Amino acid sequence: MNKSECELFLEKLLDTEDPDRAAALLNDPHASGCSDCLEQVKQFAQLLKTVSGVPLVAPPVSIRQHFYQALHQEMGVAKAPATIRRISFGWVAAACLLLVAGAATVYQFMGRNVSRVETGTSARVAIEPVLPVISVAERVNGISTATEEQPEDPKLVATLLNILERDKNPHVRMAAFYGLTKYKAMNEVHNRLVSVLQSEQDPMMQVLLINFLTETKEPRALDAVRAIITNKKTRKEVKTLALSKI
Amino acid sequence: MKQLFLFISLCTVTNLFSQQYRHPVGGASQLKMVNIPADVEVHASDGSDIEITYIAENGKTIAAQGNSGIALQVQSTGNAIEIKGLLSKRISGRYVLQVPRKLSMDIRSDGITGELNGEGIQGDINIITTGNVSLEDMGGGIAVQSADGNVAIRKPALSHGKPVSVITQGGNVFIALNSGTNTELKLGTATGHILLSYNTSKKGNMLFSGKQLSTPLGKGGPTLQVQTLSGNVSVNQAQ
Repeated sequence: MNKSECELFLEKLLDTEDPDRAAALLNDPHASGCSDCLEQVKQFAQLLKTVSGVPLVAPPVSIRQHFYQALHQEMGVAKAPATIRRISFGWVAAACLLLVAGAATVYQFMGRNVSRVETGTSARVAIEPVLPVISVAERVNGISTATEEQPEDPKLVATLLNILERDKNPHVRMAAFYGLTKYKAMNEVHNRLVSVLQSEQDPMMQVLLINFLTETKEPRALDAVRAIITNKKTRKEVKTLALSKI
Repeated sequence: MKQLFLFISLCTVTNLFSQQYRHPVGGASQLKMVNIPADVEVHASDGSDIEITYIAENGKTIAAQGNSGIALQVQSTGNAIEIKGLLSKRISGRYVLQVPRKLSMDIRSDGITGELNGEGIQGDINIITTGNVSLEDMGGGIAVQSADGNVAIRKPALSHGKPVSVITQGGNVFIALNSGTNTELKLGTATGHILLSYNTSKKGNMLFSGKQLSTPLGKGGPTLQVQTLSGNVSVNQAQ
């Protein structure tokens, strides 16, 4: 099939925001003769149907602004419009990432190592550049909100542990830590927190971990606490606290 | 007549020791301040430009460096406006910034060695500094990291989705909350002391003294997390 014909057809498809209209394109003469485009129509119609059934959640103004600017930079557009009435594929895909499946929205704001909702590879292309410009406060809020709304979600626990272990921002790590304290009954959480304490260099995190692990009477933490006490580089405040806990 | 003359004279003298620069905000949504070796004040304004005034002390004007002419290089890059200090030594004057109130702005200051005072900003604010920080009536989320500087936050919005997070080592933290604030408190210190005194309609006066506190205040809500090493933490009701 002629590539330009496919491109023209896909442009028409991506400008469609109504799921019924997208489904109607299944009968388009081009689609009926092109298996690749036919598959695209099916997937896109399903995507729109999924999105249309999800209640809209208004993202914070700053996220919306960052999103539009990043998206339009990618598209080579100089300035983002105040409102976007027509839905482009990038917007639909991003909307899925932001809106589909309720709490999955929050995961998007929590970090780069977040489990994402699968909506197709194009979605990631659209959303990836947006994440680093989310403010620290928005990330802290995302974590707090997620832990309140999804208390039993194992993916969330994995995400929080990932943030605690790898994120560079101390505010975000602290929020992840407090989120994890809600899962103190989980053995996996204890194992990982002990592991984090063994290699932790940030005094603030050392304090949080020592307090939590000693108060939950985690025996495996004792060696790590002793190592912190004997380490010459440990801050005296942390040493004082650690000595008072063992 | 004599008073008018004195007023005009005072204004003239003030103008002699203050230098000003304006920068259009355009489509920017973020303000970054980097390596500013002076005290900084940030106020919300009704204008559409960022207005920076350098107020000298002891009659010393500042070197006419950078595109601002006040030892700051100010430039728009992408969605951010970056203000970069060009002097390496601490200076005794102060920079006063007027920032459009209606604009949602993230203020990220890295390397301000003087005091930072902010008032009325509606966007999120992220501060990394070694000096004191004082913020009042901030409408957005707040993240402050200071080594040994004290951090005072008065009447933070703590509205939906707008948490407050403060980390210091030796610096003390003072938080004065509006009455009726609903928040999730997460306070901790290694060797400092936490003092909470807050009047709630349901529980009456909440009092706490210790080293760790994790509790909802009011109905709970956005997180207010504070962690220090030796700094004291005080949370009370704004008068």
